[in-house]
Amino acid sequence: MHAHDLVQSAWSSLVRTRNRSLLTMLGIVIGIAAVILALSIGESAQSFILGQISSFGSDKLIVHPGPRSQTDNPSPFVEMTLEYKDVKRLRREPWLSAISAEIMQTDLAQAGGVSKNISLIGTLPDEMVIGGYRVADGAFLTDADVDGRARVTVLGKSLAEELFGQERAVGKSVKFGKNSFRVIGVMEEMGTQFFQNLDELAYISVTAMDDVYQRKQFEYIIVKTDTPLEEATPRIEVIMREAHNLDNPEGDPEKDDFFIMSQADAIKTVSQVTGVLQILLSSIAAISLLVGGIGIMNIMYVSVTERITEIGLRKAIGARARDVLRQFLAEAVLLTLAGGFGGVILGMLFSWIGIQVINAYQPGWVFMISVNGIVSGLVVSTVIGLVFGYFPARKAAALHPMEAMRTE
Amino acid sequence: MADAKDIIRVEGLKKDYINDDIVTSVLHGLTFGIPKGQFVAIMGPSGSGKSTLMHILGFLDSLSGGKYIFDGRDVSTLNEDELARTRGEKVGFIFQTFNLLPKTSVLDNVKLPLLYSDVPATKWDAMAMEAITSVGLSHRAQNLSNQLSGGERQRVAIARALIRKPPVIFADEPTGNLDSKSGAAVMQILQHLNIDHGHTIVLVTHETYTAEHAERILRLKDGLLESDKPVLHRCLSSGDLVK
Repeated sequence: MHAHDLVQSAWSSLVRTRNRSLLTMLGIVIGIAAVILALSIGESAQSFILGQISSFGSDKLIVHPGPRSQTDNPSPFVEMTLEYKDVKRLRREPWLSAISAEIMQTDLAQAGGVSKNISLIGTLPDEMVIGGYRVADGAFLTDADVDGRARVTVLGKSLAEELFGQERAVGKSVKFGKNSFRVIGVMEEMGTQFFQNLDELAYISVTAMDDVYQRKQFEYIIVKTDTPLEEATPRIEVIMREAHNLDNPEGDPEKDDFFIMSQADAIKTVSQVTGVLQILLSSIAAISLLVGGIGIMNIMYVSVTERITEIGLRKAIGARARDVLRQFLAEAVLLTLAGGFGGVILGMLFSWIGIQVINAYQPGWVFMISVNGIVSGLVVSTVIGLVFGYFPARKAAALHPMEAMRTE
Repeated sequence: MADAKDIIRVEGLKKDYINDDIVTSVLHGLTFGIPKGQFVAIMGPSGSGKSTLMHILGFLDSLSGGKYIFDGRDVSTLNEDELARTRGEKVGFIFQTFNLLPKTSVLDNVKLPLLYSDVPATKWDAMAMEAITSVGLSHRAQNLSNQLSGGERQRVAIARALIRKPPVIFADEPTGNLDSKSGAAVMQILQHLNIDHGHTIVLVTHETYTAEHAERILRLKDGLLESDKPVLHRCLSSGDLVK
């Protein structure tokens, strides 16, 4: 029996019971669509996150508090070890062209009868150099503002518009919680970076943050340098150990109370996280594939029982056991493969819709066709057909022609 | 008694069915031969073993004892694949219940045996049409099997049995589900195949009238050969039967 004739014969059998075939296929369609959706959204997420990270630039290093194991097992209970004195120490290094730090705090901002929950960033003047930002009006924080613990703030563009409307914000007063700050500048539009809409933020000095919110520990310190990062990293480590009085001459990262990350490290971490996420989502989707496969097996068993006479007839007119086995296997594989194709198309459609929806809330997501997803979807559906179709097909092939003819 | 011209030869043929350790003997040692080109009817009351005998002769069932020589070969020496090949090439079956594939065209039903042959697919349609025409159904070739009358369905089954031009045709109560007119038409075709094309035909029936279309009647009773007689006044179905 030629492959082409076999496929045609299997196809006619499926068409004869088209309603049942379609319903059986549905299980596989949904399973494959779910896998495609998971992989496709996962890849879009990865691409979005990497895009956000690459905006960070490759000439900067971030010093984080806590031991390096933080990157593998993040804990919310990290001891915050970075302070203004660390920045002062790093400023003594001429090869570091800019040093900044951030402390984040949320509070209610009020101005002219408008109030809004916002994020405040306690930072340093070099933030402008590090981020490559520019002010649209007024000026950014200066060293004098930091050292003088001045109650001054610089607003993001949209925040300024929300609080003051068309009026000029610079020179006006804004309240964060119960404390008044004078607006000294408004930033140019900056967009989203690191998943944060920068235009909604308000900047104050780290010293004002300490005075108002009693927070002096930094969430991180960022440095900018022209020195190659692989050379800069160990130099900063030595300086930080000295500043923190750490006895760690062999450079064991577990003995440090800080760790340094570059853009490349961040990309590596993100890829790991999104990879795990994709595996997790696909595993959940795979369960529905398993259920679909069992559905196929169930229906194929019913089909064998129903078509006992037909199997007997096929054997009576010359079919060998392996011809019958191939016929039923071909039917199962055709069912699952057709389901696989349907699932791939449906999955891509769903992920396209999903990306459009996500984009409405967080712009910057791009619809990605997961080639891995499509290939593995089709391969997996074929394998499901072979595996779950095999046992019913073997049962059909083993039927004695006379047994088959007798059952009627 | 052995005759070199016998296409079918059984000696001491026995058949037992074993169900949950209970042995039921159906055939108790039959010996006879059927020469090439003969039209033989096997008769007997229900339970006499006539259908079982036909199934064994058609390689659909195995024998429990004795010998079955088909076309000079001992059937017990054939393996499963050779049995399947013999079923496909050497014999054609016609069943009481037609056994057509449902919701499938007449043409596709008749082509079915070619799926398991070495005949190239390009020749299938022409061969099927030839067989369909020979049973007078060329105008129905594209109809679905469930759109046909009982008589037409049985003629499709005959066309399917003929498509590989097997030397032997087994017909198991072929008129059992048909009205007398359709039954007569089927018998006319079988007789035509025997007389004009030289097919050996083994017919199982319990109707004496149908059996008299054959040249010879084997009567079974309780698994034994009760009688083996030629038909003295053979019913030739050209005129009176197909009124």
